[in-house]
Amino acid sequence: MNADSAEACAASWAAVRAGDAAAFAGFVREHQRMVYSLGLRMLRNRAAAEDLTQEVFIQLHERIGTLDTAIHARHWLRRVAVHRAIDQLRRRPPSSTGDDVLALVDEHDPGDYLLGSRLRALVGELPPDPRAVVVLRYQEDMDPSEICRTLDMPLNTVKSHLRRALAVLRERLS
Amino acid sequence: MTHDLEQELRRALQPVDPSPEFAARLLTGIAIARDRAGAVRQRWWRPTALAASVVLAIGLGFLVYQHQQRERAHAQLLEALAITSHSLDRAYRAVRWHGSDTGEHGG
Repeated sequence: MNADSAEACAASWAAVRAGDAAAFAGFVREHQRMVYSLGLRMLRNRAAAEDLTQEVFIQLHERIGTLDTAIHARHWLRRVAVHRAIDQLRRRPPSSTGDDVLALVDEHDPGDYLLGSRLRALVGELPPDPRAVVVLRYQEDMDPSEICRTLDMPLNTVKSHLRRALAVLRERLS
Repeated sequence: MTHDLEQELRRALQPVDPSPEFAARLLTGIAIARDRAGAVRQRWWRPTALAASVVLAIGLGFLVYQHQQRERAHAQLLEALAITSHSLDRAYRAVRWHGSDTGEHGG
């Protein structure tokens, strides 16, 4: 980020914090994709992902004053979205998956369409914590050290979830 | 294989957009939540201010009452001291009077 864009970003966040509705709408449009995708990959249901996204942004709106920068707000969004999704998954009865088949479809998938859908389905079958680790690692491109801070997990647990999840995915794919 | 799988995962888990009308719905939802929160704050504000005023008035009244009680006690003390002083003065004069009488008769 160069000095100009950093300044523009700071000015835009200052406007959001000052209660500028247009600036807040811009911030929502910029980040809704990330929050919605986290919800979708975690919950495997588009309606549930949209509800989660709405709840997270409403909570953000209430807490804007406590977030100093746009980067801080972005980390906060990611953290709250994943924790809320994990809580929802833990509350779901074991028999109900709440799955929505279309949640696995991505018409813009640039790779092997069937493999992509199969991988999304397999990731969705992982238990909540490893699923969150995999989604943050491969959707958000986060390092294990960033993931451990986001999920409040020891680094070794994150690494072990990642290793085991990859092994499970590889085994199920083959 | 690990590298390939990781590449495939990155591709499969690329972020996706919600439905096109979602942002508008989201912003409407936030506006409704904000109005509701504002209304709740307003609903609580009046009774809270009223209760605070009543407590303040009672407190002030109590302080004024205490002050008046102290003033009254002070005035009563001064009056009692004045009466005592007056009585002592009279007693002293009576004793002196009788003393001078005894002196005259006995001398």
